[in-house]
Amino acid sequence: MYLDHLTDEQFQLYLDGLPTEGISDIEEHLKTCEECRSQLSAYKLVYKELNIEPESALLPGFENAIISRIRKKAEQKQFIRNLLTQAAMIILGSTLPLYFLLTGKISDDLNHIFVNNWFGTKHLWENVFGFIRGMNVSTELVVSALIILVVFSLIERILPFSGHRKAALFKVF
Amino acid sequence: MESLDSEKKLIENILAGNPDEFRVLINQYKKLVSHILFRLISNQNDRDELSQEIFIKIYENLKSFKFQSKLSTWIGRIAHNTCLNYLRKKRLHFYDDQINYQKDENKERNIRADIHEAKSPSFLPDEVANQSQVSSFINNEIEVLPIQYREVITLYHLDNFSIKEISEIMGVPEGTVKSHLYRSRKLLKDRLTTKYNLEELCI
Repeated sequence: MYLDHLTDEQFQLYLDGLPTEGISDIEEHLKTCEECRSQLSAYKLVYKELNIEPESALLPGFENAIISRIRKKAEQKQFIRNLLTQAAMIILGSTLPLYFLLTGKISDDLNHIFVNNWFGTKHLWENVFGFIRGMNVSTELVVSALIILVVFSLIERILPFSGHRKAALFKVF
Repeated sequence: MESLDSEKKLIENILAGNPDEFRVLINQYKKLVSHILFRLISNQNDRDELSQEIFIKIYENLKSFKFQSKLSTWIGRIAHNTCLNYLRKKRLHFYDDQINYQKDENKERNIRADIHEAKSPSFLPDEVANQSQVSSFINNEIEVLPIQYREVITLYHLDNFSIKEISEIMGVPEGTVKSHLYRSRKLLKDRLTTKYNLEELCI
């Protein structure tokens, strides 16, 4: 049993229910020491108030405002992403054919890409670009751009990805 | 508290692009955010603004959460940092704001001086002490505690975080958290026993 009064640390450990040495001694001391019992009562009142749930700092329905801000931000991001994707497609659609035209080796380059008649595409590409070569320059540019736009649109529609994965894929363009 | 698996599932659902799933997370952790805001920010308009900012930060950073800590600790840390940054910024414009450790230490010294003064023979404790008076006295005293003390007692007593978790949330060593917890409760008890007779408190 303690002969001196209990320390503040002992009171706090005792009320926190944390393992503390000599807990039975503390309890014995409390039985006989009125001063320490009063101190313990004061601590108990403090603990009681500290454990009471305060009023909510949040307004009712505040989550609706958050969700609507998140939706708005997501829409803005999607708009910018779409804009960038379209810009990228237009640039690609106009510069690639120009490059092929200037270097004058459309079929050669494409054959190089789809080596050894890959999935039968060699002849397909030869036919498509053979057809394009027959046109004048401006028509050729427009048709090439249209082909690329259609391909991109199809990819975006048929990919079995959910929103953010598809968006991640299109980030590269 | 939610199990790890259900938390993972919830985060996956939110990241899949459905903001309505985020409503579930808000409902699970709004109490924690509310407690931190309640103790750190006094103005209701600021609380509204910050509650939105905190949850939007949580949403935007959710993909970077890799379960290195409990989700509640991570959310608590975001709430803590957002409030502190806000108070720091505000202090630039409103010089009398509270977030200043030096100032907080002075505040604690002032509280101690008050207690010393109150213990002088000229002080007469209140004759009558009832439960509601004692309750409102303690709550008023909590409000004038230094800001870091208020946060520690809230996280410990209301959100049942361990000392280690509180140290992660507040970004301070565990020893500091222990010290804040001990000193804040001792200060409150000292103020109480100074204001009221010890016999009166043996309710």
